[in-house]
Amino acid sequence: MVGVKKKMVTLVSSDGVEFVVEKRVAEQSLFIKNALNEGGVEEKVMIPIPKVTSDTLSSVLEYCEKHASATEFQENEIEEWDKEYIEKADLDLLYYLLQASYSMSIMGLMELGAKKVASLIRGKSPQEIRELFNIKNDFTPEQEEEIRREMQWNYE
Amino acid sequence: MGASDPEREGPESDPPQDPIIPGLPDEIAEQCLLHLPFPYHGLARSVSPTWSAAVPAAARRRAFSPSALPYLFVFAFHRPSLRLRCLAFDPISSLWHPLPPIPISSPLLPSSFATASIPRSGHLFLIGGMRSDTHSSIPTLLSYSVATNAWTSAAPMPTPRAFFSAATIGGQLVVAGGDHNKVDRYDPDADRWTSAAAPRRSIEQYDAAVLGRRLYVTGGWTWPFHDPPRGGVYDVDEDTWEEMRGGMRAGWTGVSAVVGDRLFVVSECGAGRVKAYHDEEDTWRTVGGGGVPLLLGKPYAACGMEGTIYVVGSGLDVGVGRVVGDGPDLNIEWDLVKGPAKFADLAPVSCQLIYA
Repeated sequence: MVGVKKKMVTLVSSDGVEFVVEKRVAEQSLFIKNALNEGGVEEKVMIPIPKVTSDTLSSVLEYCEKHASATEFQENEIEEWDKEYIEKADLDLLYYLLQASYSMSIMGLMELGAKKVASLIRGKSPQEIRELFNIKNDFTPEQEEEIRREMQWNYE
Repeated sequence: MGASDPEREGPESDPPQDPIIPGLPDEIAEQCLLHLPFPYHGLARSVSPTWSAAVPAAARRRAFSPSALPYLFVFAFHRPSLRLRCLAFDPISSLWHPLPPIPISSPLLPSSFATASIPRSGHLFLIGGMRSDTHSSIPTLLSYSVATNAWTSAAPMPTPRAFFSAATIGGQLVVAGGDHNKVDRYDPDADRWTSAAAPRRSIEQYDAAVLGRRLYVTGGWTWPFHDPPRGGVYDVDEDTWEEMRGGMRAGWTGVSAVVGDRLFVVSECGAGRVKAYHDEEDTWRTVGGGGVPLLLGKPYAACGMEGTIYVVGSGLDVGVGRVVGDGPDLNIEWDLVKGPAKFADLAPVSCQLIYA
């Protein structure tokens, strides 16, 4: 399967920046893998990635590059790398990574991002969660009272 | 998106649904909520009306996903007040999470009721019991769902029942023994009870366990009783009963726990000795490792999950026993997780496993 010469493909971000990467790296994305399989590889070396900007794509490809070589690392080494990788993403980049991994079908990255968001929710009060994600509290006063009553036992 | 959806429903014209997390498509936000572990669901539901609906939906899917984690749900009596409480123990963090109060109007006699769970659907049941004031049996079925973190009243049993056995097999709740020699089955999806085959002779309630798709009910062991207590085995698929084998019945001298397909009992006599049942020879053998930690005070409630026996003792100390080896080399390595000081007055009644 693996050719002697490295096969390269070019990905084009939504803002027109070209990224030349190894095929095996790009194929971490099922979306790209399918695109490459559909037509002959030769004609399809230029793949547009809609809705993913160059900043996000460069970060996505950093992930893909690491995971394309995952077999060369110990399992906990790649886990550590994942942790550091997602830790340094701010909330905006995290959102972009989630959306990019969703549209590009990169399941591992999607899960990594989703777990990160869940970890941000953990241990926060409802008000802190609203502030973090910029969520409107549009409970009616009655609904809010009901919820407070329901939750009261929690603070006994 | 969806602002001009013509097929909006509801009595008032509802405003368009807010996104779960502004800036993220809902299908992605739902993936994020799927990774939120159980004890945080309750709190997260009070973030907004959208979260109030999205969190339970994600929690329901989570129970079946690989990221679901096992929790030990423990029913315990507060000795001074006789109030029954339910708490969830997270074996990974060793933290306890209190559940909302159990909505029962009058106190029940300890061990008069039965409990059961469906581990992969996140449901916990509290069934029947005897009121401590009037000493009458009740038919109540209360159902707790980890998805909503709430108790609800489900269809009551066809007849009241106290001091009986209950277990779930293949998503169905089976109750046997107690006030009468009848067996009833409950389908949680349909919220309906149907009657099932009964054993030839009634069995006193002592302990019960599920192995495979069969329910094993024992009335206790021979000594010190004059009449040997009975034991029965119920096959859920055949809807038939047969007598429990002699060796199994004779050696079932404590609370049971099933790990994998192996039945263990924590013996009530002797210093928390643990025995494993060996089907081939119809005999119980003492398991190596020295029994439950000596510091663990009775009464015991036990439950097995993922290669480990959990024995909850007085004050909600938890003995965590990792089962190693197999056959004659079966061994259990014990650890003790002390219960928080505020639980000193709690005495465990039963514990159930749920993935959440």
